[in-house]
This record gives sequence, structure tokens and C-alpha cells, in this order.
Amino acid sequence: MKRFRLAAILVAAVAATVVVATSAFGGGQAAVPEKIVIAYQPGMGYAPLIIMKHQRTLEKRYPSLQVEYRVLPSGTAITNGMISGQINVGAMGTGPFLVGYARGIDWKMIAPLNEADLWLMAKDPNIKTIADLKGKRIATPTNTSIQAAMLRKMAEVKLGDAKALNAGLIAMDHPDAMQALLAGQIDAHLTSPPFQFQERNRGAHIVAKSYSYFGAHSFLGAVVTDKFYRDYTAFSNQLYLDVAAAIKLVKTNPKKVAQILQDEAGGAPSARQFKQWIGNPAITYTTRPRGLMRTATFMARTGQLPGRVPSSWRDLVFPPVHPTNGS
Amino acid sequence: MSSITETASALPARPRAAGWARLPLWLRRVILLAAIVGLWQAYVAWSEFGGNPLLFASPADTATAFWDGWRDGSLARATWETMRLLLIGVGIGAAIAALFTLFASLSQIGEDILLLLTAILNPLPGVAVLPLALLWFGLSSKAIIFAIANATIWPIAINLTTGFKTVNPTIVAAGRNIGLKGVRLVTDVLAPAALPNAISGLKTAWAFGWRTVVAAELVFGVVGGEGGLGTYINNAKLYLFTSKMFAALLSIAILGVAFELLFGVLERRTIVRWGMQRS
Repeated sequence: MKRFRLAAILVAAVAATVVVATSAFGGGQAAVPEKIVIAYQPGMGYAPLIIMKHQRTLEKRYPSLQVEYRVLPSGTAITNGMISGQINVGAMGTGPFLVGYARGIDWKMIAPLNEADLWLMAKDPNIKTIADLKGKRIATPTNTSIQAAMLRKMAEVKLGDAKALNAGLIAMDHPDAMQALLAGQIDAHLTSPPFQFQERNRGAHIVAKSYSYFGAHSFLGAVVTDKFYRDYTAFSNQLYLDVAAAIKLVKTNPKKVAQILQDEAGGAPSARQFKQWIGNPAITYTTRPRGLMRTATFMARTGQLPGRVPSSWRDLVFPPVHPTNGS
Repeated sequence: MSSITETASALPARPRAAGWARLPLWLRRVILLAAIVGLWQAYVAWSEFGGNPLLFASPADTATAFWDGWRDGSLARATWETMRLLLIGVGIGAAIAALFTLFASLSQIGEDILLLLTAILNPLPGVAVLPLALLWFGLSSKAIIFAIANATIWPIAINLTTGFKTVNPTIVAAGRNIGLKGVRLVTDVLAPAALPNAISGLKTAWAFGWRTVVAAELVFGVVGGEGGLGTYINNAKLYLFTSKMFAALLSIAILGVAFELLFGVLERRTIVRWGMQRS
């Protein structure tokens, strides 16, 4: 009788363990969301996601999944969409991402997309150095953008004060600012590929490059919330692998990627042009984060990160990114 | 069936509303305001959307942000910048409107031109001309001032013209009788007689300008330099300080009420005292 009771307890214990285990992992490991909204911004920096969209990677892997790609004009718009739950995967620059983290949004990068040398462009030949830009109008995407942070770094190194150029800062999205620069309405534009390439082709020149002042640094990343990662862990980990595969395609078959970018851009610029741009050393596609902590520390020091500051780059990325030897 | 009888019997409950109406105005306002704040707090406490401080600010957070913003001077600076643009814009608008009206009251062709321009330009929302203004004046506050001036000229011009046209002919005749003519007739008879219209024109213009300047700053988005309330809201949004956005909106609302009161005083001091309009 006693032995029977012991056996019963054992069986019950094992059963309970199984039930707990399946409920704990079953939700996170196997589940695929019904619908997923992926948002990114205009620009070739988002190429890995554009490739996934074009190749219907997610649609093929999960036939029942509803996939929607949205192109939004700014990281702020994507941030708002993610806070209110309308966007699941948001791709943005490291600036708005770090600001969101600082302000208490529980999110991390599921896949960094690239690092990029961001150029400060001017059209007036008299503007040769940072010092010539005092009192001039300089466009960056937003005050929280990585471009604005890099401009502050340049001002700090060259003029001794990170705020020296603040008075002339104007927030404009890349295409508008490019028009304004070429039309002479603004004096300089701190931008990103491909806009900096286009501006150079159309008569503007490089005043400064972010790598020269800050060292190489991450530019864009795909971000999901902690809750999304908890609920759909396996799905998210697979998302990382898909981004990595798309990046690999950029390296192994740039010609095909250039064609994809041309198709998704509606025919222009040409594939030849895209291929040339992809090969420019100013942009490197990689899922390894670089200088995230350097960026966060600098932004915090210049007052751009009101709130929590990460203690390690691992606080800012999900587990699949951990083995990349980031910084 | 029973609900109908209930509705019918609910009708004589009107005296209860009379009880509410018998309360002094300030008490009714205070009670309603408290009820609104209570509902707001309840929404924050019980709704998932309202409970997320990144999306929605509680009354307490808003009050703190409002207090901090005014104490550290950032909201005061933003408000002053907005007011400065508004004053310049409305000033230019009013001056141009006065010239237009003068021209219109002197000649038929002037009146036709004014009517045509007003019909075309008055329905345009103030911010609609901003992209053009940016093109013409570049990315500076001049573009915003242009948009404000454009939003204010037409309401003032319409009201002034109406005022001049509807001056009681007997008064004008009386003025002529005592020997006034030309400029003296305009300054001593026509202008005071048209004052109620001038003030209501200015009121409308101020409201239009106020909407235009905040909207223009939101579109314009100067990042670094001194910006007004629209820029303040934009920046608060950028750094996800929802409570600061609420505080700026609260400031805008309070300023709106303050100007309404100011115009009330102006009216009491002039046209009501002179018996042109009943208080």
C-alpha cells in the first residue's frame, strides 16, 4: 500500500513536470504569430529586409503567416508603431533605438543590419572643414538620429564643444534634405548611403566622415520587443538566421541583390548603380554590432539618452547575436 | 413598456438640473473639471493603453512636467518664441489688411480685388502655404511668419471692410455736419464706428494665427536652435516624454483661454463701454 502511494506520487510528479515543461516552453519555442508587421525606412541600408521581402522568405517558411512589410519615413514613426503594438519588427538607426531603450521600452536588436560610414556633405566649395560650418544650417534626420550624434562628435573633436553646431541643426528626412542641399537651401547634410553617394554624384563634396571621428560603428538594426521575443523565441531566432542569410547573399551575389534592390525601388536607380553602391566600403552588411556601447556612452554624455544606459552591448541584443563578438 | 413610462416620468426630473444650474458658475466649472481629471486618472489606472507611460500621461505626470517645464524655463522660452512669431506675423497681417481695406474703401476696383483675393485665399488652411513659404524664404522663421501673416490678413480685411460699410450713415452725416472730412472723418468717425468689427476680426485672426504657428512649427521642425511650442512637442515626442507633450498641450490650452479673456477685457474697455455692444 505504502509502495503504491510512493509510485503514485512519483507518477504525479513526473506528469506535473511534463505539464509545466510543455506549458513553459510550448508557448515560446514553437509558436508562430498569426500576423507579422515588419517596418523599415527608405534607403539601401535596409537591403537585408528588402531581400527577404522580395524572396518571400517568411511567407515560404510559414505558409499560414500573414506578412506585411511597411516603409515608414522615420525611426520615430517606427518607434511609435512598436510601442502601440502595430509593428512587430522595426528596423531603425542605432540612435532612436538607444533613445527608446533609455526611455524604458523593453526592446533589443534581433539582428543588426550593417555598419556605415556617414558622410557630412556640403555643396558650397568654401565649406571645407567642420569649422566652416559654424552658424550654418545642417540637416540630419532627427535630433535623436545617429547622424545627429555623429555631428556632435565632429563638433566636439574639431570645435571643442559637442553643442557648437546645435543652433543650425534642422530635422529633415534624407530625400528632402538632399533636394534642399542641392538647391542651396541648407549648407550641409549629414546623411547615409545611398544619399551621400547621390549627393556626391550631383556636385556636393565630403566635409567629414563619421568613421574618422568615431571609428567604425553600427548603423541600422532590426528590433523586436522583449515580449515578442519571449512569446515567439524560435520564430525570432529563425528571423536572425534569415537576416544573416540575406546578408550572405549580398556578399556572394551582389549582382542579384542589386537587381532585387532595383525592382523593389520601382526600377530606378539602376541595378548597375546599386551594385556599385553595395560595393562601396562606406557600407558593410553584418549582423555583428559594433560600437553600440561607444555610441550609447557618447549619446548619454551629450544628454541624448535621458534614462537607463546599458551596461554592456549584450543588454542591447537578443541571444542569437551574442556569439558575434560585438561591441 | 416600462421603459417608456420611466422615460416619461423622468421628464419632470428637470428641477434637479435646475439645482445644478443654481450653483455658482465657478463651482460648476470646478466640479466638471474635477470630474474630467477623475475620468482621466481612471483611464490611466484601468486601461492598458492609458497605463503605458510611453503612450499616455497621467494627470500627476502632466502636472509635474508642466511645473518642471515652467520652472526650468524651457516651456516659458518655447512659449515666448511662439508668441514672438505670432506677434510679428499678426502685426504684419494686420498692417497689410489695413492697407487693403483703405484701398478697398477708396475705390471700387480696390474692393473687387480684395473680395476676389479673400474668396480665394481665406479658405486656405494657414499651414497649407508653408511648403511654398519654405521654398521662398528658406528654412527660417521668416517662412512661419509669412504663413501666419497670410492666415491673418484675410479675416481682418473682411471684418474691417464690413465694419466700414455698415457704419450708420446718420453718424457719418453728423460728422460731416460738424465739418469733419477726409482723414479726420476716417479716424474720428469711421474707425471708432467700425471698431467692433475690427476687434472681432483681430480675434479671428489671432485664433487662426495661433493654430498656424503651432502647426507650422510641428511641420518645420528646427532641431537645435530656439524653437517654439510646436518644436517643444516634437522634441518631447522624439525623446518619448509623453508627459511633456501633455504639458505643452496644456500650456497651449491655457494660453488660448487667457487670450480669450484678454479680448473680453479689451471689448469691455472699448465697445461695451461705448455702448456699441452689450456685455
